[in-house]
Formats: sequence, structure tokens, C-alpha cells
Amino acid sequence: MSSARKLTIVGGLFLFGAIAVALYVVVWLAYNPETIVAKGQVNSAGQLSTHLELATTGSIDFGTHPTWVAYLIRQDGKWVSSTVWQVPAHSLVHVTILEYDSQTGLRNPFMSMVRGTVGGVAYENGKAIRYMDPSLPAHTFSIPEFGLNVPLEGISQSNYPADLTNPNNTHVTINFSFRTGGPETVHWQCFVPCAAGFLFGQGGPMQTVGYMDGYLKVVAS
Amino acid sequence: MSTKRHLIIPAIIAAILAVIGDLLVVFVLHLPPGHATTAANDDTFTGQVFTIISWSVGIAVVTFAVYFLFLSARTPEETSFRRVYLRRHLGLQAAWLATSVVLVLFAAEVGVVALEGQVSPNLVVPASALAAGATHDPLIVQVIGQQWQFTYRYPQYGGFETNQLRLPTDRLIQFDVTSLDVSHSFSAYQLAVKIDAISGINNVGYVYILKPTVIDVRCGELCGLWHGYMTDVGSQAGEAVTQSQFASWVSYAQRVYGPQEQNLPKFALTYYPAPTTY
Repeated sequence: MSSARKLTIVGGLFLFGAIAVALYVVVWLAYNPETIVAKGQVNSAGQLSTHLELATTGSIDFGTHPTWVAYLIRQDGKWVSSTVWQVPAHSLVHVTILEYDSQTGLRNPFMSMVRGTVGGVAYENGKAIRYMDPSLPAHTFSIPEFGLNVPLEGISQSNYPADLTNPNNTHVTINFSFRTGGPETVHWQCFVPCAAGFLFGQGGPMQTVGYMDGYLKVVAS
Repeated sequence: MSTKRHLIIPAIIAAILAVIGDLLVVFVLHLPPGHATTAANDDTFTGQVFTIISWSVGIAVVTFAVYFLFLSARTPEETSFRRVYLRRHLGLQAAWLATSVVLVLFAAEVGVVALEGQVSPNLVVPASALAAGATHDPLIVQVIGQQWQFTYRYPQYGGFETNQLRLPTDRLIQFDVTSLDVSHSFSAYQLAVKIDAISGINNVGYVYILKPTVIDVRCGELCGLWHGYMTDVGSQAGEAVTQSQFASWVSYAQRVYGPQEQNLPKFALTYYPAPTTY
């Protein structure tokens, strides 16, 4: 085989490998779960509002990582695995979270305080809360860019695991509202180190969009 | 005409360009990070000095290089110049070496002095402020890094914790910086402060704020998935305010965040929160 032919083969293989690696990186970087759109409604007072119905579960039970803890969102009556949500700008966002996971506790007790919601309050099974024992949350729903933080009390270990496919199973219902500003994309996350099996509880689902964190896209309505 | 003109002509051109550039650096360009703190003043001044030096040296090198590139060897005079100056000329080489040594030593000295001025509380408070009654008694602000937000504790006001950074002007401020998980870095651009936040370690830095300013805080250490979002900018940005405004804010913060103090650990320089493993 001539030197030119060898050089061509080696160069071609190198080029092929480089393109394959580049494509893999681009696809990996560009991947995000499907964006779930929460449509706005204008009430009689002319105020734009929307509703996010969410759930937290200790293990998602399907997909690539069935044992990972996750947030889900209800769309058209079905629970959907996506943590990328879209809401209207300058709107009042009502959030309902059905919390089915057990208590873990916070690394930073400061995050057991309700902040950034309308009235600085959240409602746990209908009861207003502003502060919580930091050992009780299973998760938090937090948008640091908005100064928003809501601790989600976990169910007791004796009632765990709970199945979110059965609405009668034990869970905690948390309601709160917050206002959006102008168009922007922010991130939301959980501050409880809830990634079981990972060092400091901060790996896996805490570091992967689609489980315990995601984007909130605020778009002009 | 002497062959030395081929040194003098590019030298004059380089000197003119250097002066123009230096004037732009001093009077037109607004180099970061500005003048909100004594440290920012030092950084901006250091940036100006180094920009002036690098511009002057750089433009001289480029001017001489371009001049010699287009210098033809058509005349005997120019051929002579090339033989004398462009090959081995001990005087020119010695001058270049000496200039480089002086500039490097100067840069080292400036760097050491600037660094010392930012880590020593005695040097952070300007003499004019001391003369006006300022003291070296610092306001302590603890910066706590966690994935993915900075929070702040004010131990001299009961130890409340907040997600808002508010600082007073005209007072020495001591940052005690630590982390609850991975390594972060508290980077406050307008304050010219960047202090690593490391779990189990208390890193200390000082700042003296000269005028009210917005403070953009970012994490300066790649710390995980949402590192790029670990920012306090825009509506969540920190703020340096006058001492009376700061006192009002403390009253407000104690009212809002005070009740949460019962859930916080006692103030310490570092924290080892449970669960440390899971």
C-alpha cells in the first residue's frame, strides 16, 4: 500500500472520529426535555394567570433512570416527565405540588423558609406556612433568580413509598403563587440533597435536567 | 544621512502612537472594575498601568517590525544598516534585556502591593476615611456557597440569613466565605472581590465601599450543572447603600428573616451540615 493511500485512510478515519465526537457533544449539549406550555388565562379583573400542577416522586419508575427522584408535570390530565416549562410574562402563576416523597432534610436550614411567593406564604394541605422544621422537607421548589423558595414537607417513612398514580395515596399538597416579570429564562431547582446513592445527595438527578431541576421560560404572551 | 535614522524614524512613530494610546487608556477607556471600592480603585489603576506598559511595548515592537519588513536593501546605506543593527548589536540587545527586566520587576512589585492592599484590613480603609473618623472595626458578612446560590449571614445583627446582599458604604467589611458542598467562588464584580468558597474552610477578605453601587455576584468556580445560573444580577443583584439605608434594611431583614433564625445553626465560621453523605 502506498504512503499516500495509508495517509488518506488514517486521515479519513481521524476525520470520521472527530465528526462523530463533535456530533455526540452537540446532541448531548442541545438535549432538553420537551417544553411544557402552561397557557395563560385572563380573569374578570383583567389579570393574566396560569397554573402549574406538579408532583414529586421518590423514583420516576420509567425512562433511562427509573430509580431517580423526579418532578413531574400534569399536562392534559397526564403526568409528564419534563422539567422545562413555559409560562406567560407578567402573569400570576398558581402552583400546585403533590409531594409523594419522604423526608430528607435540608443542608442549609435557611431554605426551609417560604420566600418570594405572593404574601410570602404557601399552603400545605390548606394550612398556611411560612417556616418549617428544616428536617421535614423532602424537596424544595426554588427559583433563585426570582428569590422564590418553597419547602415541600415529606411524607413520613411509614407511608413510603407512595404511588402518585393513585391520588388516594398519602401525599402532601402544597399551593402557592408567584408573579413573573418580563421575558427571560431562569432555572429552578431543589435545594434538598435528595439524590439517593450519590455523594452528598447532589449527583445524578440533581445534576440532570429532567429530574430535580429545569428551566422556566417566561415568554411574552 | 546616518543609518541611525532607521532607528530614529520608527522610534518617533512608535512614541507618537504610544502617547495617543496611553491618553486613550487614561481619559477615554473606562477600565473595569471601576471605582466603587478601594480595591476596585487599586484594580482599575493597576489595569491602567499594565495596559499603558503593554500598549507602549506592543506598539513599539509592531512599529519596528513593520518598518524593517518594508525596509529595502537597495541602497548601500540600508544594506549597511541591516548588517550593523539587524544582526548582532550588543547595545540594542542589552537595552532590550534591561527594559524587559525592569518591566517584569515593576509588574511583580505592583502585583504584590495590590494584593497586600486587598488582604490587610489596615490597608483597605483609606487614610482620608480614617482621618474622618472611620475605624478598622469591620462589619462581618458571612457568604455561604451552596449548589446553586449564595446566601449571607450577618452575625453582628443576630445572625439572620438572607438571599440578599446588602452592604453599607464607608465602613470596613469583612467577608467570611465558606461552602456547604462543593467549591464555589464568591465573585463580586463591582467590589473587585473574588474569594473561594470551600467546604470546611473560612476564607477572609476585606472591602471598603466608597459609594453606593449595584453589586453583581457570580460564582467564579465551575460548580456543577447550574453554575452558569449561580448569579445575583438584575432584580436579585446585591447593593451597596448608605449607612442609614443599610440600618433601615437591617431592621426590615430582622423582621422578615429573624423568625427563621430559630431553625439556623449557631453562627460558626464553617458548617458541617447533615446529611454529609446520603
